[in-house]
Amino acid sequence: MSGRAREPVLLILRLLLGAVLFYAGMTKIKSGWQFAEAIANYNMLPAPGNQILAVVLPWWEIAAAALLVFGVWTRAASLLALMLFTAFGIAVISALARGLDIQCGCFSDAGSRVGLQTLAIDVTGIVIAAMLFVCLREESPAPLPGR
Amino acid sequence: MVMPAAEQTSPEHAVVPVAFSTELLRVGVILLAAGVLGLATNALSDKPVPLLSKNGPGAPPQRARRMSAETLKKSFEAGRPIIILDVRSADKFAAGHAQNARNAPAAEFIDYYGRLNLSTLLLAAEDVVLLCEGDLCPSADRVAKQLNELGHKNVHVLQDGWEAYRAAGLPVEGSAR
Repeated sequence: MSGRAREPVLLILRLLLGAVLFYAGMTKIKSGWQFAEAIANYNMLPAPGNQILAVVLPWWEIAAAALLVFGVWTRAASLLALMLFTAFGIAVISALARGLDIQCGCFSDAGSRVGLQTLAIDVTGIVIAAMLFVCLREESPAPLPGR
Repeated sequence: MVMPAAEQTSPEHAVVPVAFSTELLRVGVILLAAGVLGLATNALSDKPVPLLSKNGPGAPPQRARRMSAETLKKSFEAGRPIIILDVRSADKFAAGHAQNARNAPAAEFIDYYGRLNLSTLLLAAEDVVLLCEGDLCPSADRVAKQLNELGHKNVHVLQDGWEAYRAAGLPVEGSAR
């Protein structure tokens, strides 16, 4: 990415990804029971795993969103977003491969059903998170020679 | 020779990119802190998600009894009072559905149950058959469980769902005709 366009583009991508993650997290917090059922429908984890994930996952999304928006630990937040989108992508591919006709659980209890559109949105998230992780720069003081 | 940026500055102000291992450590810190916050918020909420419960809201749906399309066909021919509940989305229902079926999308099933006065309707039927897109339809299994809890016992999920219904040549309505 060329120097002049780089910073505004990265800022927009950070805010966009942050907004999506924040919205996704908030809708799930408001409907914890439905979200637990949405995860259970993927039939990938035992009941306790679904329940714990339903409680902590929305806060992971909100934490990543807050860090991206406020510009703190942005590469770590992008990496976390990348992990979340990748894990979700694996769940979606697994559901599609098994022919499951279920809600995706992406944004709320009344969300859309798992399909190729869900996968396309997820891949977009993966690409943006990966771009941010690669392009964002964070620096720390270099160790002094001999230490 | 062009020197890297970090080497051009004085040692007091030299900086290097944050190492990948540091980023991973930060991700761990975020996961832990946000996870603890989530668990605490859940514990303090009015309707907490029960954790480590085998029968809580996150329990995988139990597989409901199946009825084959052939059995359904024979039941129709014998004139048995059967209600078909189509638990697919309203869009899919509009595109084509079983004759005389009621649409009650699984996601909002309880709302539809009250709105369509399904209680009376289902109690009058000998069998209730839930129709989904295919056979692997956890939402239909979940609706079957909800109906059982509401006192409806003869609830079945149609084996292989809408695809099997059409393949069996059973009567349809809507644009799928």
